Amino acid sequence: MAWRSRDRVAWSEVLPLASNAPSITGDGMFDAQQVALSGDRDFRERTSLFNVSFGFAVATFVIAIVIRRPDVIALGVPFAIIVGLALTGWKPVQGEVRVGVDSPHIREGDLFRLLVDIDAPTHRLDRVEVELELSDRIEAESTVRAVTPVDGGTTRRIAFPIHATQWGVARVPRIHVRVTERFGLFGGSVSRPLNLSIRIGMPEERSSATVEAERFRRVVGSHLSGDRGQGLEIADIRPYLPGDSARDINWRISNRRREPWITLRHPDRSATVVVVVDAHEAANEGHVEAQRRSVSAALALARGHLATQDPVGLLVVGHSVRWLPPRLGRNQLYRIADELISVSNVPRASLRMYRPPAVSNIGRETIVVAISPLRDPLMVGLIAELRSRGNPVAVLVPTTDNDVRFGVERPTTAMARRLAVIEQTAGLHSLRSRGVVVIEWGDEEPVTVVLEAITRLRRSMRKVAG
Amino acid sequence: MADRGGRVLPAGRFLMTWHLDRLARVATGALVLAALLVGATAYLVLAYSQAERVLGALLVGALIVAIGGVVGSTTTAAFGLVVFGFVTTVATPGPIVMAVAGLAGFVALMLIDLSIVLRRAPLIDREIWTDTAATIGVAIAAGAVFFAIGWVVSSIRTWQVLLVAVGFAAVGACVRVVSARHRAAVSDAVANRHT
Repeated sequence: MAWRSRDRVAWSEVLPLASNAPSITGDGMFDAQQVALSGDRDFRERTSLFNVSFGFAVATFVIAIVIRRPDVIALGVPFAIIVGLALTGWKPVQGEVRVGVDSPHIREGDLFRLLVDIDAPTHRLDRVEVELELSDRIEAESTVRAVTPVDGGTTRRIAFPIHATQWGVARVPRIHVRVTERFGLFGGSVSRPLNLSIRIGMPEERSSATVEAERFRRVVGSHLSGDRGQGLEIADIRPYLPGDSARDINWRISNRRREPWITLRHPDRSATVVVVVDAHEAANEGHVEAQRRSVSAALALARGHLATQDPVGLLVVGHSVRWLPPRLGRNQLYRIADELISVSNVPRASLRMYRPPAVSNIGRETIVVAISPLRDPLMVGLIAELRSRGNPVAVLVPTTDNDVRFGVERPTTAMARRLAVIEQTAGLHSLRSRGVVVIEWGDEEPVTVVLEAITRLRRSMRKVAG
Repeated sequence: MADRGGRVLPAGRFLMTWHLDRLARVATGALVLAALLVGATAYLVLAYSQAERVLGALLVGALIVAIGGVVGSTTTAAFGLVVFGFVTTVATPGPIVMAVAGLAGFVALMLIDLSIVLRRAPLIDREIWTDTAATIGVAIAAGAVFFAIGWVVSSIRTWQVLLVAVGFAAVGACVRVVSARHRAAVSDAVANRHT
């Protein structure tokens, strides 16, 4: 269970575990990554405190002999004693650090915990300092640094409360570990890369509250029932005409009327829907918000259609193509949600791929709902191609009013911006002229405009059928 | 500079910001304690000093120790202790005060080292405090024992020469035992590394 922000957790928790700690994933830790502390000579270095203490002890001894004053030795005695004790008690560092999260599903706004398990299989580790680096999208509630001892043969668990600030893929790219013995005279530190990715989903209320399944059912579930198709429900019968399929011949009626008649059927009530998401770059805050709304709308669409037994597919187009064939079921919704998270990590100035091979897998009767700011003419071309194949297509265009601009814009930049707007407008007109329903979706508008889009789509489909 | 402790210095932050952050959040207690300890020792040395005008030099040493603590460098602090120790030697306050000064210097160094560990407000296990207190206690106790032994030996005139020789032999034996133990541990670690 994810930690909700309203559930306050302790500022710090350092929890001792049993000596025989269970396996990595069987201990409430997910996506665990390991760092070995054993057999590394980095941990056998003398610290500066050792050099200082040893030097001071030797210096006082030498000075006492040179100036013939034994009392000077008293100055260096504590240093000599501690150096001796540290040398005697030193043991090689052996251990392992594991880092993971406490929840398999994390959503934006959740407070979850990064768990760090420190194993000391043989000897006690007197002082272990652990520090994690965090990427964007996650923030430490208090700190990501801890200092703790670990007794030999035990595992010490440290829990850092972390706040998931933004949906997408967050990372813990690196861990720093420093181990010293009790006196701080021997030890060392290592810095290791971690491959810990944390997938942060959209908040539940954001994607579900906006589109109710029942409202979708009223609009989508029957929107093809007036047409002829290949479903099971019989709509009408009529005499055979050239071009009709022999499979549609109704043999009983044909036998009675002494001429071939065929059965016309309603199409299936469930319509296949493919959501196309433009994984556009997020160059400023306005674009980030548009990206968030795109994903939110895509998830809402998928959820609504899957709830009404419509197979839903997903095509994410951007620097790479991700294609999920239309399927039914809750697992498909999870797959779609997982794929949509990746939209947040679009590298800037990336090479975009268009005319993906998956386009040919989209059936001609499949409803296509594209969500794109239409800033790229290539995306406009892709949508136009889908429409030209006969697919009913609607496009949601998330627009934003707060396009952030920094400093004084150069004339060339301003001109480029105006040209881009003109190009976008031309693309919009081009799509509309092809019968694509294009809906501009402003900042303040709720996702319910998606419903209106589907209604218009229905009308456009009737035109096609007519 | 030994351990600045800034391996994970956040991007875009200046070193001064890091120091202020460290001072303001956690390490202040350890640093203040170290400064008070050195200051009190300076006062003690001054009180038993047999030389004139050592106050300024003592304060310079204490100031360098404090600077070492603020910048998070045990090496700098140790340089301050060297100055402090030199002035203490010149002041000739007597063996007991010398031993107290040495002990205070070492504890101050430990506290400064601890303040470096406690940078950036970490989660701190309670055992860290008890371990530190125990370590300081052991250092004080062992120092007192060794000093007492030395004091007794130096006061026995008849057997002085013999006892001093035995003492040197004992120190040599201790060093030998310690080095053998350490060498065994190192070879053990190397063997584990190869396996």
